[in-house]
Amino acid sequence: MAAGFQDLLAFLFGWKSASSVVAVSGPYRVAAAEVFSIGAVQGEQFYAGRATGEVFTAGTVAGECNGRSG
Amino acid sequence: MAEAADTHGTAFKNGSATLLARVVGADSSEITQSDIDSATYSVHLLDDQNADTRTAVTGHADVSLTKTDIIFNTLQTDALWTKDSTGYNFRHVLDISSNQAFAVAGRRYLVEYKLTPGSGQIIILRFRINVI
Repeated sequence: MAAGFQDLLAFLFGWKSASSVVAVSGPYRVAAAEVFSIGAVQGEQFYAGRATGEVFTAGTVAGECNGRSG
Repeated sequence: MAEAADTHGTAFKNGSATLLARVVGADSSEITQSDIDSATYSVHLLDDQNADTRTAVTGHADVSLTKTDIIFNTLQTDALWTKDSTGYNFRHVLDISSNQAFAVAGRRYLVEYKLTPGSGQIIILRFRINVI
């Protein structure tokens, strides 16, 4: 009964109905929308292993050829 | 002026997404659960070469939804919603526990909701998802 009285007051004074008995009429539209992607908002990549590396080539770094000139 | 438009978003391959919207009626009042009789959703793989071609995604075709699960009687303004300060009254979290919704990276998918009101024409909500 309280809900009905509230609706009567809403009708008389132009209030928005609190009991949703008064249906929202169409046509309908989407006023706003968005997609929330499930996952990390921000991320950081961490590489496991050495931060710097060095390649070592087995063998002589420099060589010298010595031979007889004559 | 209200025009038909897709809401664009991005989702991870084999990930889920939460689709949010504020749906209103002729007087810009937000719809409530009592305004809707039934609801369904579908996910389609789109063809970039043919706008009229859709391929239904297995497990996500004309899936019935419980209106009390997706429509709020009051506007929600939690952290999910960043569009404005007014809020949303529609929310659906894609359930991918049984079937993936976005299986192919680099492709576009359409998530389409059909809300059947107690009276009047059907309400369509569309979200175009770019999968990465």
